[in-house]
Amino acid sequence: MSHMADIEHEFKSLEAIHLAAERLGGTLREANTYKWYGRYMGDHPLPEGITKEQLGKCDWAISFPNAEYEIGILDNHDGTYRVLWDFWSGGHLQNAVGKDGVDFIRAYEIEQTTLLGIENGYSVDLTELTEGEYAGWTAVDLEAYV
Amino acid sequence: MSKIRVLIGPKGEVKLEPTGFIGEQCVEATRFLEEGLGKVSDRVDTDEMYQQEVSNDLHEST
Repeated sequence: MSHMADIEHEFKSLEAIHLAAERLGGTLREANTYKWYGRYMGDHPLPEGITKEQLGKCDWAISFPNAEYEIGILDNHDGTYRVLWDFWSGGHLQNAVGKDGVDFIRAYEIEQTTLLGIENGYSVDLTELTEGEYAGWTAVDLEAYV
Repeated sequence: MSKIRVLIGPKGEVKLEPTGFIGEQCVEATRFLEEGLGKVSDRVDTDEMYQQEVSNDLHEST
């Protein structure tokens, strides 16, 4: 079974991708290939703009403990990155990055917000909210230095 | 004190809550986040922003 897809998001920082992987217990490395089913079976549409021959090729890969498959990162060479994965349940990646990769997107947003805050001269404080309207959300507070 | 609270939801939703900025400062102060994050689903503007705008309007009308 081959179920290749994008994790749908606008990824603009490799450093935030790196930190998001670590936040979820994964490891990013430079790599030309990433692990997936390994053979296109035609049982799921190819990701847009990707040929059968390009499947499994990448610029960086992310591995997670207890997941056989890996995430592939492609450099779009326009300041953005494409994040591809084989979401077949047998590859166990979904356990690491969530359904449709939402846990990875969330981790990326937290890390990217933190990086942007520091770059722009703010102190950064993270709080996991447990009560009220935003229970289950993360608050990243950026406070200007006086 | 100027502060921006960035709320990140379970599905990666992003909301911005800037406080302590006056008028157009608010938009300028959060521009780096809107550009860097790529997708901000909501933005909660504070009363301070509008207070300044009302004040400016009053000055202009007198």
